Amino acid sequence: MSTRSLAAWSASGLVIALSTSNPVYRVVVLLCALNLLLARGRRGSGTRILLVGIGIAGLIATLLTLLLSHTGQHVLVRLPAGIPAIGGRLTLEALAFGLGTGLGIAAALLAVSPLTLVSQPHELVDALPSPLARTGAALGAALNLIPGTLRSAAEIREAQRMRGWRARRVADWPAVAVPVVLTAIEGSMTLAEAMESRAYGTSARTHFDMQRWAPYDTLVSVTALLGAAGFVVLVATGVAPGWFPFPVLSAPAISVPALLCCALLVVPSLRVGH
Amino acid sequence: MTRRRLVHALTIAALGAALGVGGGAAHLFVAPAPCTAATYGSHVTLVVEHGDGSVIGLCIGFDGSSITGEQILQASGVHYAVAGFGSLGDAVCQIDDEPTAYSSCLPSSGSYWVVFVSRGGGSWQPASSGISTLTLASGDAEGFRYDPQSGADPPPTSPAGICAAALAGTSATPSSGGGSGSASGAGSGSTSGGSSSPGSGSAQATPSVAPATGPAAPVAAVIGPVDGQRTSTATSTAGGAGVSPALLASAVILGALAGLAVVQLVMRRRRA
Repeated sequence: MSTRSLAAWSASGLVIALSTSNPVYRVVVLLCALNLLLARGRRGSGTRILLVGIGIAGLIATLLTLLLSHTGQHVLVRLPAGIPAIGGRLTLEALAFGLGTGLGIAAALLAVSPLTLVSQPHELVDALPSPLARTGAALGAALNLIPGTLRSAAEIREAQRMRGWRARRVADWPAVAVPVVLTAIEGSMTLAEAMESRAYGTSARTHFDMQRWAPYDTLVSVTALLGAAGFVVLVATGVAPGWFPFPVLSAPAISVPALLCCALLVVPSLRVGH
Repeated sequence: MTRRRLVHALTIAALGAALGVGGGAAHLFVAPAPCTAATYGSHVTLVVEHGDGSVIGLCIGFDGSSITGEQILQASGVHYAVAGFGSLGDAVCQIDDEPTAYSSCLPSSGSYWVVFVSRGGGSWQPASSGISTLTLASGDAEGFRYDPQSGADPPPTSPAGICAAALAGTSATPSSGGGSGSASGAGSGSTSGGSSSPGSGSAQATPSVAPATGPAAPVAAVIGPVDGQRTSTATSTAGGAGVSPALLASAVILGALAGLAVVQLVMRRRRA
């Protein structure tokens, strides 16, 4: 599956997840993304870590809304009013709204996750339009320096402590900061030389496996983009209304055409044996 | 493998569809409260004019000297939803499932419910406050019209004759919304009011929460046979009978997607 079609799919899923507050459509996007990850996700790409992170993010969103929003008719618990911020009524409506918010976060994150969990990093860089290819590669290399610099900082700090250094004042920190900066510059120079020795920027780069645009990619892209466009039109015209559980909790209204637009995102999950 | 996968997906989809059917069937058991004979010392007329022109006209009997606009709706048994606007009172967002859904109670564009009042048989006048703070006395009328905010802005259908016909045709039979209690005019016990369910809509940016039932609601209920009082052509307050196609479609799609995810997970583990 082409990374560009995957990008079109992710953009469509993201648009749908963010353009509505209706949890039903968000669940559909979430399930479609989950199916795609299960069908095409690379092994060892950190899918489990991502799912745990999404679960924690959703839980935090739910708890924050439940504790901070005291609006709603159905009271679950009453906390003492003296407790700052969270004191007062905890309502079923706030809980439902928090769950909806968490669902939106999860759907949005899962919609873009195939870009890193399905495709390889070099495929992602290759998928950039040619005017952006070099910028993308440089940006990717620069981002890769961040974890390296953090590791370097930890090592230098440990080494200085072994020499008796203690961080008591701000004036003590240059003993760590200066070596960290120098190491980062040295690392950047090494990386630049390594890239230059591999002929970066001199001509078109070579590929082990050129990604080819297949008819299936056209199908995936067209269905995803059509689904997103149709959904946005339905939302804008009021056919697919959002959902707001205040002041009284109510079931979200469902539009069948909008539901079908969301369901178009399942297309890339239906093909196995890639 | 593919066939088994298909069977799994279809099974779960069918289960989802069954849940959808069950949810829809639950609506079939929603029915108005049984009628109870009663007489009331006061009465007001309620007129609800939908966007398609269909009209609900009811005579609401109550004990006491006054009743609020919201208590009239509660007593009518017509489904409605409100949103609070502080000292202005409650605005009506939805009546009798119109609109079926909404994101804003009083939208800047599009239709919304306008409230009118007729005092002592006079002409309709736009209400100056929300229905929770709107007070009506015997002989008054409360009107709602679903206004599209474009074109002419006529008041609702005249309330004249609705209560007269109800009082002449029956011996004050409360119906639909009286709930429990004998409501025999003396005021013992209190009716639970009408159904103030919010339907499927949502109110946005509401300053306060709307109460389900007004405090200290007087004994009030519909007078006369409900069906006879309604001149509606396409209204129903007993809930939509039958399975909602949208609910069914969502159950099928969500069930199929969940089933597909389970199958993908099993296949992924087998490939490992």
